[in-house]
Amino acid sequence: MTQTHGMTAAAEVWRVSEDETRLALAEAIYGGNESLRLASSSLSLSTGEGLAGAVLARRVPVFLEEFDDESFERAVPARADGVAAVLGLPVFDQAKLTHVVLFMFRGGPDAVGAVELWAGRRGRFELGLTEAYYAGLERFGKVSRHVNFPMGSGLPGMIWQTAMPRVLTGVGRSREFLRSSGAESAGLTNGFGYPVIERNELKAVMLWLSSSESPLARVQEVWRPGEDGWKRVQCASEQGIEIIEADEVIERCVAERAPILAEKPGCSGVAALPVMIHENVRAVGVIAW
Amino acid sequence: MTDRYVEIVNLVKAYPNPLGDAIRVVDGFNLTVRKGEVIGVIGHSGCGKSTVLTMVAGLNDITSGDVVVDGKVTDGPGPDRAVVFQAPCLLPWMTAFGNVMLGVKRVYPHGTKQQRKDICEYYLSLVGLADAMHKYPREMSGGMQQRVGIARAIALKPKMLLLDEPFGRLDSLTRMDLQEVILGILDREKITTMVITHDVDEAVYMSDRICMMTNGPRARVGQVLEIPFERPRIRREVLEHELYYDLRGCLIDFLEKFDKHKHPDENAPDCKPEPEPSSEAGSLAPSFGVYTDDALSGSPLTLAEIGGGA
Repeated sequence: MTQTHGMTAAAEVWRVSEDETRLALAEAIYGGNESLRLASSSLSLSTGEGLAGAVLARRVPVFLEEFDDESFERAVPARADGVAAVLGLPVFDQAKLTHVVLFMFRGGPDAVGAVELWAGRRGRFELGLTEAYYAGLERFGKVSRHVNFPMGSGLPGMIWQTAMPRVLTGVGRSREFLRSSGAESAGLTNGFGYPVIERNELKAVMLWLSSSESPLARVQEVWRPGEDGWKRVQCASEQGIEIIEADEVIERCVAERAPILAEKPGCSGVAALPVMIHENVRAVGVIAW
Repeated sequence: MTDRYVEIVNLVKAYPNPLGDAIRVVDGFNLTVRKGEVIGVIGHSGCGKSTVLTMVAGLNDITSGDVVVDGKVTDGPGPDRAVVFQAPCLLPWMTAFGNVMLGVKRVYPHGTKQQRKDICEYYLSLVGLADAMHKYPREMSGGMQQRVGIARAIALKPKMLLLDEPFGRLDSLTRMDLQEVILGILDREKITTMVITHDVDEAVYMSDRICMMTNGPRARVGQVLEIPFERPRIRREVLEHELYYDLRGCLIDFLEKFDKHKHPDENAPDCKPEPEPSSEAGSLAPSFGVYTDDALSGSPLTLAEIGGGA
């Protein structure tokens, strides 16, 4: 199968200093964008500075669509690679914000995909859409802004209930994906959800909704600990890739209690995102693009 | 307090089952309602919508959970929650005025006779029965009788109005007429309202939010849809709103997913996650926000709020 142009252009992991005031670039995958690599190589950020600094200051996931040099310190090389939006994702180890992961997404007229941030509604036991990046999904996005999910319902509600990452295949047909008719007409195929948990409390649910034409993620996996080591318990894939041989990535993620980026055959990059509750890494969500 | 004027928390209705465990018709229904908000409740026949409404009204015993109205946990029926059912249930030997006066006497025991009369006349006028208030039910159409039922409920000045398919027996023109009557009253009186309906268009037109229920048994809230149309609503403007058909489609989509006739061989999505294959799966019991190692010991109010609200 021919590999088409994916929507994920680059990813970075920023390590937060012990005193939670500084950020240092720990890992990055730029997919051949040398100018972005060069612009990033000597970068160091402090609280409130750039997108990663904004995540450190606000301690919540942050989206940037209309970005400039001030809001995203590498706006020029990012734009040159077609980056239309950037997500800053905080990773907590209990109460401590340890890492910020940046995902850079391409846009363009052919791109179809969505990254959504679902968070608690004021005064309600529901998750509502707080921020999102939609490419080619205007109608789906408009309606989604008015939908709320209680615990256990829809993909966000299921992730809230289980506190686990989750992969959903065939979102356009799935009876678990309650917005499926809009998803089907828009061409969405697979979904991946990841809980952002701080001090054992759900802070937000991130969803990646991917299309086969321009996938945000070509492989999505969930790994959990079993009696004889970590096991892949859910997976979905696009474009001929079936699984990612991610065992050593998972090992590092669990051992370092940190998000890990890696390059693997058949894909541009792999991100492993840990879910930590009560001092344990309970699960790891993996996306490859 | 106004954000959580009505709180329905973990509402459960279970019936004994001689053959095994009790059958939980409604299982963990949660909803908070702002003061003055109109909540539509929609779902398939038999899913438990009316069971929820009658529990909120205090007319049906609650197996577990709480209904809190204006900061007070309810205990049985009371005039703070007025109900309008599909059938108007008027006393046939009393006029429209007499039927409304029955409740008014209870709610305004210290008012003068003239004050109570004024109240009855005012609310009967509001529903368009100024000229028919001394008619008996047998002399009135179904639509008129339902207007009396609405006047009777609103005259109690309830904190919450509960409408159980109030237009279900009416023809479509009368139904639209009464929708306007009720919306006019709600715009004026700002009564917090729960309306149960099977009609998707009615739900979209009348509600600020629509609560979609999963199928029973073990019914609960499956999804909540916010309706962004301004009030007071004008039917033509609502129908022409750019989001109208998308929102309507969202409701129909949900109902189709839970349609047992369309999916007879499948279990409807019961909104429960699949068991995870890990040995740790059972040890993490979720609560509303804080994940604990002990079953359901987290506070139900601690879901972190980072969004901008509704």
